[in-house]
Amino acid sequence: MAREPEFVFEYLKQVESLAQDVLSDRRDIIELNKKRDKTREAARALKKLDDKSEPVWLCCGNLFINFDQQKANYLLEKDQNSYDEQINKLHSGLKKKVNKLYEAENKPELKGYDLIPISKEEKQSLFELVGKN
Amino acid sequence: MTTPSASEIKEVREITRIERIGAHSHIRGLGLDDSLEPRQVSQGMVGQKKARRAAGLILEMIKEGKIAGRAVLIAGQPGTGKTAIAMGMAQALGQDTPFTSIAGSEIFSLEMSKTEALTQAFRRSIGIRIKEETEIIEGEVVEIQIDRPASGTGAKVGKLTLKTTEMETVYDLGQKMIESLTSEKVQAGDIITIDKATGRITRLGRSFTRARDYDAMGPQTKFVQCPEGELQKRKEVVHTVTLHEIDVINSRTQGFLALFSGDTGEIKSEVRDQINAKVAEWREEGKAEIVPGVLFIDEVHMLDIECFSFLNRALESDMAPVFIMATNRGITRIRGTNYQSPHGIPIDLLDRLLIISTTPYEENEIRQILKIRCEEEDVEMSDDALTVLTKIGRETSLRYSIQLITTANLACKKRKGTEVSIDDIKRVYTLFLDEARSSEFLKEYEQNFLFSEITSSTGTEKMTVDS
Repeated sequence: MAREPEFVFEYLKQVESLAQDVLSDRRDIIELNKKRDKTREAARALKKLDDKSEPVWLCCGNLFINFDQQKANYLLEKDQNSYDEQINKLHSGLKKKVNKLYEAENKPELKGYDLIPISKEEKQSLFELVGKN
Repeated sequence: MTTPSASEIKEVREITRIERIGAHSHIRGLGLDDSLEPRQVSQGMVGQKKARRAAGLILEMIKEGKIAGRAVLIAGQPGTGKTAIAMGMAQALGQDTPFTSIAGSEIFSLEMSKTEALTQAFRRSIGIRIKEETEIIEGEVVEIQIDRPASGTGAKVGKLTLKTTEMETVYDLGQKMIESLTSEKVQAGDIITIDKATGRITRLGRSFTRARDYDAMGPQTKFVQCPEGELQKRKEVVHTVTLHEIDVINSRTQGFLALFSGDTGEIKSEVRDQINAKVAEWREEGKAEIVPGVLFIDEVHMLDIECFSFLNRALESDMAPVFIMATNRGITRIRGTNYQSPHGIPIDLLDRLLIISTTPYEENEIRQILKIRCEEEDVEMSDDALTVLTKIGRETSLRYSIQLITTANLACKKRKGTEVSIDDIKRVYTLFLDEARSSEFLKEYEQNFLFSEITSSTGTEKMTVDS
């Protein structure tokens, strides 16, 4: 059963790098989510302002920039969309990476992982009550 | 007065505990190693290496989905581990693969036809895997702030602050959300989930960090960890349901209640056709996977010729499970006909089967099985007693000697011993007859039993006819 140390080392390196990949993606998703929530909060705050003509201070990183409200709104919306996009991209990429990791670790494949999810209505049509657990 | 009643309760409990130990409860799998070689003693299985290896091969094929619509027959004398092998296969398949186990005589019922019962058993053994995806917001409530308008009427506005271990954010609340939050009685310190599509709020429990907020709490208060990661999560749930469950839900209005009461009745074939069509459609679209499970019919010789011809046909359908049968008969009459056939199964069906045969256990194997059973039933037994029991097992039957374990243990407890000794075994051996001694006894005292004269008179009649 004994294997050469180089082989084991290589193997462990591979598994670890795959796992690191998954972890860093998870981290990215969380960070993006944080930013998304902050932009959402900002957009809400803008909407609540009574005086629509007054320019606002928008905090970008560590400096404040003075914008008029429409411009600020536009920027926030754009940011929001790009965050959504990036999160979706990471999510779909994450699945493949997890699968790869499982394969490398010799774990059984996750079952039903790459099925296309069914919608609520579709489920309702087939299981009238069982879905309510 | 109190002491005897307490001991009575204890005794009652013990009896239920004993009852709950099934004859094959010690089986955990087939006991094979990675290269499918059977280990002598493993996972509760002892001996029967050939049969176990064969079963392991079939199992591997089932797992890879190669063998749907095939049938296997496990044949062997009584007490050679047929059911144990089937149970082992079921255990090794894991939870996600449907496994149905019925006895051959179970399908004869007044409420439904034989073929209906068989169809239900078939459909119980085929799983459908589907996935649901929901976007949820999950977090611990830091603060809820609801502003009521001064006039008392009009729209309320509010703010909800949620956090996870990583982040925290504020949501502005609309009228609807405020209502459902108040109706769920959500307060700061609760862990909640909000379904993004429906807006439904579920309270999971209170956060551990808030456990000391109050001194007195109801017993229903549940504490959970503050969730990790992002607030807005994507939750994917994979369900595996059997075709039979879908059938039952759709066949009646009160559908799924029937699933619990078992009162399913006959299911219309149109319903089944519709479900099959829907499932096939989903499979094409990549929305569902079919999980062929295992249907195990014990005592298969109890089926009659109609069932066998039904099985022949059913095995050819494209949604057939793996079909395992077990029988302890040799060449015998096929039920419902006057024809003889090996195992009581028609030749044409037999032709489609892979046959695994089990052989009687060796003496040391019997000893090992008895030892495993002793462990399973929490019985301490001395080595000598085990040797005696093994001898009994070889001369009578394995089942009989397994029965003696529990009874001898009771005898041992009665004399306040801790370890079952030879004397205990001897005592129960004289108390309970095995099959051979019982029939010997019957032969000896035949005259004293009721209705003995009828059998003897028919016997003589026959003789006269013959002569």
